[in-house]
Amino acid sequence: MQNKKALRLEVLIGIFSVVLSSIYFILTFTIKEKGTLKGISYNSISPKFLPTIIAVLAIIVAFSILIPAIINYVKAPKDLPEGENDGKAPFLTKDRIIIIVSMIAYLCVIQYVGYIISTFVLSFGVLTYLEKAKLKRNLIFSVLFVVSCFFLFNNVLQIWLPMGVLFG
Amino acid sequence: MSLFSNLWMGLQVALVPMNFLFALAGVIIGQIVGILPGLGPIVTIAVLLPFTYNLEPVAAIMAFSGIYYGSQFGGAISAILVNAPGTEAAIITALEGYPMAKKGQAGKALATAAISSFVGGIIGTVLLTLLSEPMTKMVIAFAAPEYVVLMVFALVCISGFSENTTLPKCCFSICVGAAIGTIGLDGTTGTARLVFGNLNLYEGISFVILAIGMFAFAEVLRNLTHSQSKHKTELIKVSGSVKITKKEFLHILPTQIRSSLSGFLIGVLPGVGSTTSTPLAYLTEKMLYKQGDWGNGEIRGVAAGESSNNSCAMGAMVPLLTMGIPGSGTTAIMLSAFMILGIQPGPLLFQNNPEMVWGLIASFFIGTCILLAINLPLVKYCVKIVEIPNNILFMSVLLLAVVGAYSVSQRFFDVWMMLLFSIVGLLFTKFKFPLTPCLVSLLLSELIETNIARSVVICNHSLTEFITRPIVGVFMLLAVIVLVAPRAFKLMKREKR
Repeated sequence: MQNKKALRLEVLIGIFSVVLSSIYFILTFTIKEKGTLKGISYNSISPKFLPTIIAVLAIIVAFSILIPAIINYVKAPKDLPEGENDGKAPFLTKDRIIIIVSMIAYLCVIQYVGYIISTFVLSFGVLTYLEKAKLKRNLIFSVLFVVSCFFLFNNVLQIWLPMGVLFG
Repeated sequence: MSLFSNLWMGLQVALVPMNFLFALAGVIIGQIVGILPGLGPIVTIAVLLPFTYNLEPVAAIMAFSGIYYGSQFGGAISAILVNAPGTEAAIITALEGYPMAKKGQAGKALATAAISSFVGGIIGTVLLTLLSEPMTKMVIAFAAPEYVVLMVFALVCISGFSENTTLPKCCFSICVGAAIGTIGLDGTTGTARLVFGNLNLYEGISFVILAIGMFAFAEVLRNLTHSQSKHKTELIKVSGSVKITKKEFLHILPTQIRSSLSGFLIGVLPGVGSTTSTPLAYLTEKMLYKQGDWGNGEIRGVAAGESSNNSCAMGAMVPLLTMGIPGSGTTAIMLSAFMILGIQPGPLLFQNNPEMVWGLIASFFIGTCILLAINLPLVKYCVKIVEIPNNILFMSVLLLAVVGAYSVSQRFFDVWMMLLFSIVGLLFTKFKFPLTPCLVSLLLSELIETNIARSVVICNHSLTEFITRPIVGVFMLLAVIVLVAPRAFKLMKREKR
């Protein structure tokens, strides 16, 4: 179902695509042209070749997202519903924010606290936040999963997970 | 060596206890993830990839392939009993299977799904066996210019056939993947590109990190919520035995054969997967048997969907094994697994590593038989997997994703990148930018660049010489057809209305 909000969003997506591809295009100028002598390329495909092609294509594609979106928005009938409450879940829900913030905190402390403690706190903390009533189940799962994962990686797969300041 | 001696050699490799055990583990894991809605083969292979770094490549590849085709089998169970298809391919199965289960025919629906998956898997594997050698002989003549257009053709197919999105968004997704692929040291000259002085970026962004972030971790962020824990799955109980009569089998056999053949052909095309093959098989049957009880539990509908998606999975193996070209997200991650394990799929794989490739094909036959054995007598127990609490399931994926990303290079920079890509993945899905083209183009961008560099030398720096090569011309023409034909058909339909 079309509504003004959706059409506006498409225009914003188009603008964002154009900005993103333009930034990438500008960044391609920072790539050094190795393999050229006095402006004549002896190795005809320079490191800049593919990024430049991608950037140009991305800009063309981004405009082909933006232009139809603007046309649709301008041509839309004036009595089109605003569509504020379209029933869709918002992108940043409270749960998602909490998980992302927990992950950021986890990644900041893991090297100091070690894999076992920090991962246990992450797993138990997030699960308990989501389901307070299942405290025992969350505790058993977190302990078993973290310990078996640590043992498997460190002892069997020989991928060394950080021990932290306390154990390392 | 003849086809049969190759297959015999493959069987001997597949039946080595270690290889057999990994293939078995793969199909069982595949069956489980197929049953669980939300977890798919891409997520599973992505998070399990680090577990295989120290394994024998043959065993690891057999396990991953088992996960891939095993998930096609498992998807039907939750589709029939919960009306929640475990995989996208099982959506069609739910259309007819769930009404059958509601009518008290759950056993019959499950048996039809299992037997049809088996028939589809076997027909697909036979066709893969027959086609792989001639395909290899054809592809071995390809030089760098042909490879460039072949890879570009694969990307065009992926964007041309993408559903629920627009062509520009699909192309933009390809550009994003290719742009990410240009970060790091350039493969031909060793020049650092877009690294901004960050030493962690010199190696480039790993494909595995992008896959874990965009698919596995993004899935965690979507599913690990309060609302999921409150939701209780309503499971229809399987009453009676899980079997069909001989008469019913003969009744659905033509449907199974037709759907398997069409599914396989669609699977071979890059970018067109079971989301296209299953509705096509279903609609074909609906057109052929208009008198059927469609929408209310028609047994042919279940047979069509399941035969088609299993055969399609085998079809997708053809471009992967013979050309080294992935046609979907799952085959892309499998290609990456091949490369990590030191194997380069393509025509030379059949020459240099016949034991491995024929062992893999033989394991498909064995795995499909195992899946039938699991699905018929044990399906009542498999169903219990649906009752695993969602939050426990996705917390396990989260924790595996973290160690998976860390183990790629044993540094936390990759875990940060994974977190970043999971947010990008969520945004992509929210704004209807498809993820698979981004993933495939990241994987192919380096190969395309290397082959362009070789093509420049082969074609003496001449673009005309490049374009006028016959195979290059054919693929370019095909690419134009893929891009133009679907849109032209749509326009013609609109004008008719």
